[in-house]
Amino acid sequence: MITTKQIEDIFEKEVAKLPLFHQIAFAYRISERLFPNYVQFVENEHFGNVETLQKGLNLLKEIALTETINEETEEKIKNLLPEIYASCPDTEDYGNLEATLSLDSCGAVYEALVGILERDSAKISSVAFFPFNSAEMIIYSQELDSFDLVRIEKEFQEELLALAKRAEKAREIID
Amino acid sequence: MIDNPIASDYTTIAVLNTEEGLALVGSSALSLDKRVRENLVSTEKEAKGTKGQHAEEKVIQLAKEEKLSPTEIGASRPICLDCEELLEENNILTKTKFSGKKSKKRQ
Repeated sequence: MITTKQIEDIFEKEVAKLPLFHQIAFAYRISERLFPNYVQFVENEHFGNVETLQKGLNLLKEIALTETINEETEEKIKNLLPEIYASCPDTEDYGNLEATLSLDSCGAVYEALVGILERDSAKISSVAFFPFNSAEMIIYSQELDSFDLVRIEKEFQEELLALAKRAEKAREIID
Repeated sequence: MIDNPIASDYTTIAVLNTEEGLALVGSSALSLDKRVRENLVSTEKEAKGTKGQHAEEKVIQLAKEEKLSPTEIGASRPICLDCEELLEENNILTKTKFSGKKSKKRQ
């Protein structure tokens, strides 16, 4: 099992060293992979708003592709954050795996957007944590012996980080 | 430890102290957040409970299963009506505020 400290050392600190728009592209790719968990939760429980989280993902992608953050972008983020916040399940109402995973989906997009607003690399790069938390929740819930999910996520992020390091433009990390 | 508002505002963490010196830690989510679990010390133990239980219910259930004597409980969010009653039934003290309401799914 990879520890949070190892995630910080292997991924978050390395991602934080990348140019800002490369960091945002990295966060987008991570968040995009978590998005189906949120869709699944909304379909099962009829709570939440897929369109809202999709808007958040689209915004991350747009910022990375255009390599632009202006007043209009910041206004969009400020308007979207409360919508994302309101679309999250409360685990006291939904204590199942799907709810827990969907919180990671929302948390990743929310954290990345706040990081962009605050120009805080630590927040943007901390998105790397969420899939590992989700993977461990799945392992826990299914009482799996194998840690394949964690290994697969680690390999994905290693490849993504390598791609981000050699990319000249953030677009190359997304395309 | 959890600085993401989505994690902290939508998940309750409860800690139940016992006379035996062991503190039981539970979450309203399926299990403790990875960051919380990794920071547990030898005098703390995760209460895994069952799906749908509140954090307070998980730690109190584990205390019963392990025949421990609860003394005081603390929760990261106001305690709902069901859990307030559970604390009263088990004579467990708390300094955490009560919400005075049942959670949405239990109304």
